[in-house]
Amino acid sequence: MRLKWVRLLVPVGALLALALGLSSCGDDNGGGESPATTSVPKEFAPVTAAPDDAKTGGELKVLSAGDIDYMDPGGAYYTFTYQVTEAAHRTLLGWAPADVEKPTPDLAEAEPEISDDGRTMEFTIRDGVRFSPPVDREVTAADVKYAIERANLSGVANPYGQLYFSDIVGYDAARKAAADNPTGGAPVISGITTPDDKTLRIELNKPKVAIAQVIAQALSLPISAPVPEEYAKEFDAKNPSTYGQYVAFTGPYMVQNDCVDESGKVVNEDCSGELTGYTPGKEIKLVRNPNWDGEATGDFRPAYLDSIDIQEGFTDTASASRKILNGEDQVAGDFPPPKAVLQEAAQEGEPGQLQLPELPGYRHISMRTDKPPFDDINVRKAVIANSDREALRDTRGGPLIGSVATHYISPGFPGFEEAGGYEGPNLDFIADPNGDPELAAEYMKKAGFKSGKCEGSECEVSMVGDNIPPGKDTAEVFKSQLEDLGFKVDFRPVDHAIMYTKFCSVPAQEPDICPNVGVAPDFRDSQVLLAPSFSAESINPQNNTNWPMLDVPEVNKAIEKARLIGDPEERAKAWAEVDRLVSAQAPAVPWVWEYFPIIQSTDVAGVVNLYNASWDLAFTSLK
Amino acid sequence: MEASELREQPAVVGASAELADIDPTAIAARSPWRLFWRRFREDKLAMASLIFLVVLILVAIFAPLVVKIFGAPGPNELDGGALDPLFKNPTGPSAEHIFGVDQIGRDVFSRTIYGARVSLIVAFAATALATLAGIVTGLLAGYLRGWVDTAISRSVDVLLAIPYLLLATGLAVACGGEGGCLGGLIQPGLGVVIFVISFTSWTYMARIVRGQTLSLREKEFVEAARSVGASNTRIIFKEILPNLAAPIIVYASILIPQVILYEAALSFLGVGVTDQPSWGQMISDATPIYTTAWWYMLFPGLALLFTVLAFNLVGDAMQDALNPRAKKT
Repeated sequence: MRLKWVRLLVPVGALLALALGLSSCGDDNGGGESPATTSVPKEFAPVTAAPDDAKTGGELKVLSAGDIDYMDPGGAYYTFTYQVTEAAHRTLLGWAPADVEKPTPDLAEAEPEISDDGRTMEFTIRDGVRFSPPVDREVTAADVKYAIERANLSGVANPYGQLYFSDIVGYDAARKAAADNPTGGAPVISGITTPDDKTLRIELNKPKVAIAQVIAQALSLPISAPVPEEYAKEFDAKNPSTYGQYVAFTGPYMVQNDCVDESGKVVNEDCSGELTGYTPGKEIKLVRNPNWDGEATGDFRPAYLDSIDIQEGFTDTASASRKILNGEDQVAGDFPPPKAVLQEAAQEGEPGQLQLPELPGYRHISMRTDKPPFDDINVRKAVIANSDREALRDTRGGPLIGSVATHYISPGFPGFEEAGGYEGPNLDFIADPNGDPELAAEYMKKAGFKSGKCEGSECEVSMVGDNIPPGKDTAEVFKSQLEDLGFKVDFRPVDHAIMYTKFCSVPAQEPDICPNVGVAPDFRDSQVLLAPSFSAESINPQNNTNWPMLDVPEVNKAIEKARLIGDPEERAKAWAEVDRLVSAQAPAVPWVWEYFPIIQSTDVAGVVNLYNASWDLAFTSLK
Repeated sequence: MEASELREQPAVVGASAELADIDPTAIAARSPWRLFWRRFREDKLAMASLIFLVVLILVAIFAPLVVKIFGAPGPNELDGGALDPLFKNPTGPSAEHIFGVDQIGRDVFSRTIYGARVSLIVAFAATALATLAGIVTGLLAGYLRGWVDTAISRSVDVLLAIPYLLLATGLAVACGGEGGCLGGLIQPGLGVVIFVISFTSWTYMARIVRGQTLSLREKEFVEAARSVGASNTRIIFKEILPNLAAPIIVYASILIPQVILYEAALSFLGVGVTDQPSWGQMISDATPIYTTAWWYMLFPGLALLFTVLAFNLVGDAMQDALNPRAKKT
């Protein structure tokens, strides 16, 4: 897979290879001289298997710019957090490095058995899986049941449970009970039962196989990492829960706590389980879980490393990237190298130092469809028609980092081809990746602006975006494009997390435009790409994910219909139809289906997890 | 008045032999400002700096014209074609973009020229506000003394005890939100930066003015004015304030370059001006890529350096010209 490069020829060779690769890809897809569609040059293709002679032992040094969101698996949701949870927890189903379409059984012995009518599903828990010290005991089905139930507590702050589990019998009642009494313990979900220690049965309100399949995939998320109730309930009685400071792990690694030393050896029998290896914003120290026996318990993770030291706070990602490339540090955790360093990595790096896994999902620029001026569909179409999406893509690295998006279902997702593939839907306003100002002017005229440009006070629009590149650059470019169309843009750059939590995900504070939002789905089902972003049901006063505030009955109806279809082919078609309906509403500018550049030093045999588009720490080894 | 002016002319004083030959009617009276200018222009470096600053001000005022003359695009115009074709990184100086382009294809020359506007507007506006605030509070504290002096002086002490950049960053963030601060009086953008800088810069001026006022209020000419029944307002504005002109001008001239650096620092930290090009913001944006896009940091950096240097040299020369005795010592 990887090319043998002669060091001196690397810059020229890489450039030639890249140029040829990109232009040929563009030609294949009709992109012409400035290809909108690209595929990963093979020298940067992600490695998804450890080498046959992978070494065991050693410590891996990981640099990250930010912190994980929650150490508690019940709240964990960031991509970067998943790097930690994948290595430290066993969920019912898990994602092996090359898994993209469906997860692999992990804590569960096999995929769930779904009854013919789709009303019940059953998981069987593996024998011999044990919690890390101080819990030490074997995992049972009740631990998974409790993990799902406690996620309803506001103190656990799970962001997706309601999205996937509201079709479980008793889920909504339990959620309401939890909201009424946040510190009263996790209310029982009557539809989740444990007939015995090893069986977890889930009963659904709607007898639909499609719903059961989505729930099964959702149980690959950290929410299904078992939590020992007798140990956690005192922490869960607080709001917010303090379990995140005392987490019990089941994976090959655990965050160092007061029970174990840096080698994962138990040094204190009379310990509380308090995590000593996690200093928020500074460091996460993962050591081996002394109670993990992968071979005996059917774990697919080889876990070559002895320990993993994640150093946080490297916000100067350029210098952090260079430290990794020159071998001072080893892998990048949560940040891609900036464009300049990306170029250095591509031209001067050794084979394998730069890898480009596909980032599932898409980036888009949302426009608020519920208030002027973007409540007028013609204004939205004009904005999309005018936008030079290649220029937007250039802000993240140009053709190397992905294809210009033409709609919302991403490559590799069911329904992508049915929704138009790379060419996209047959809509004039999104046809030209470089923008079509004349067409934009026509749409502005249709919206009542005789000059073809936006005029008047309603054309003063607010925009909140990132305050650091590349997001800030994207926002600046889009601002310039809006100004070309006559808008006066009040751009407020803020921290990325604040952009979501204070502005774009809070409708009361949401600006007219959010230029730096994106969808990274939880698994490869088009429902999770489209429903959270465009269904009226997703509009919430807090944690809103329908940033355009789109509420179109026809779209809502199509979403409700599509989510109940189980047959894969029919389901793909149904979601493609949703995609077409959403695209026709022009609620946002989809601009890139992206590869996520990740880098490593030459002494690391990094393995990429395609599900998470990041290094899989449980498969990575040192050379 | 004429006698005192003569005393300040070393070429004349002491040259009694020549003095005898001079026709007294031929000696022209010179105002203090003419004397100041005569001394100032003797400093060639300061004159060069002054010319540079005048040119800079003209360039800032006529930035669109200057950019047009050089055939450069506007500061926010994007030229994606000027970016590196494969990785879309900035490219260096070329015939089309004499200072190169930034990370999204904007012309660095054009942005550097427009950046002068922000630096100069902030420099003059914030210095003027800080100076005004310093004069008013310093005069009140020094002349009225008592509880007014105590209240103002302690407030100054408190403000000086707070790390100014930290305070400024906090204020900039607080006022940068929708609706601004102080009931909407301070709006996000340039206004916030000017407010923040002047709010944290008036204290030294207040101290200087207070100290001078305390001394001046005991002078004979103030006593004389008071004895003939002059009001406090008249004494402050007609007797004391004119005598504070020199220290005020000198300190204001020192404050200007500090304010320029201050604005650049705030922009560098991401809480300065964001809606138009500024040198600090350009340097901040260039920081992660300076090894590969040196031009992006170099040109705004040089502009900042020369501007601050010029203001400093002019300030020094003004100080010397206004206080020639200090120069001699």
